[in-house]
Amino acid sequence: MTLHQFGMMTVMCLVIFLLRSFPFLVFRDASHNPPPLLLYLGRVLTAAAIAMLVVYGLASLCDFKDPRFSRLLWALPATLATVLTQWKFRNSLLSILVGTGLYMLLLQKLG
Amino acid sequence: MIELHHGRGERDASVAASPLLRRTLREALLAATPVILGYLTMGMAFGVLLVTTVPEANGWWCLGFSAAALSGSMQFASVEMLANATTYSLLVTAALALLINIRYCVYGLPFLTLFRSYPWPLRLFLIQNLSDETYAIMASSKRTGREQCVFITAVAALDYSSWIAGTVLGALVGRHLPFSTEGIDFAMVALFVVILVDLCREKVNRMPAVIGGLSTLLVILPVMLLSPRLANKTLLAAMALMTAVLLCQRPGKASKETQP
Repeated sequence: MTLHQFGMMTVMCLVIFLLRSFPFLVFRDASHNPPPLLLYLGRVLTAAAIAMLVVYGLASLCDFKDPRFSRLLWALPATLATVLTQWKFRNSLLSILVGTGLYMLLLQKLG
Repeated sequence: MIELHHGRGERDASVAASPLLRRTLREALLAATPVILGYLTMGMAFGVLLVTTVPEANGWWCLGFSAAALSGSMQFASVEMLANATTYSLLVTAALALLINIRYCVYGLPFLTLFRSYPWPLRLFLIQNLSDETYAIMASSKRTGREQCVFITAVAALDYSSWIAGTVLGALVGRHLPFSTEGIDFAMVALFVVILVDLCREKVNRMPAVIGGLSTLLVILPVMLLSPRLANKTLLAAMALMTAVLLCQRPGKASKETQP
């Protein structure tokens, strides 16, 4: 483990714990209403950030150092399969397994 | 106020002796079972992904990281970052952690008074356990007093230990799997796709999701085409862009919005 990797993990954990303890640090009791802007951002940023991670994750499949754009070709049906499985069966594990399995199969068999 | 002489509670003889508390523990196990199974398997997937992507990683990483973070989405996103650690500054790491986990900053609200009535080590433990799944179970429990304390503590302890155990197990078996793991990095994308699909079942989340996806695409696409090496520097720009758009979009939407 490099020092930087350790630093990255520490920073992530600290940020997460501070976020979780945020209401306890800021609000005295339950009668304090949190500002509407905070509630708004807390809600919309989650969906936006997850969508960002989908796009970014798809892009990073290509490997930025040695781009292989063909991987996106296999990622497309795999993503579609994940979406459809999840939409229909609401079973996260099944959907992830189906999508990842399909992607690994396509990538390993067809390059 | 609740008197607590028994720390985590569930293994104390005097507690187990009471039929009411024994029943509460059984209910906690029952409520936590789907999460335990999910955490064990998703944890294993994370462990396998981590050790097959980051050469230096091992079970100890998972033990420490999972115990301190307890965030599936963050940990999955961190794999690619840890593999290319030199290209991510601590500032970008912090900004990303803030954005991915921003939802946690409201999870404590229903428990402000309740957690304050507990001794501080238990309070810290329960705050740390405000993950999506554990939060959902805690928030839906209508118990009171000691029963509530035992129930949520037991659920948290069960969920917490199964996530850690799953990730460590994954890290231990990850390099010895009898098949090629090439392409397993898609599991991260699949996880986020699944979360996104579930979020988008609620109409209010659809526009933010589109804004987030398009903002990222807008920033990353030109960079990918021109200079892919710089692509992992685009996250900060994408985050700034989507936050700006969401803030601009807010006033118009506010009138139409109703809290669920």
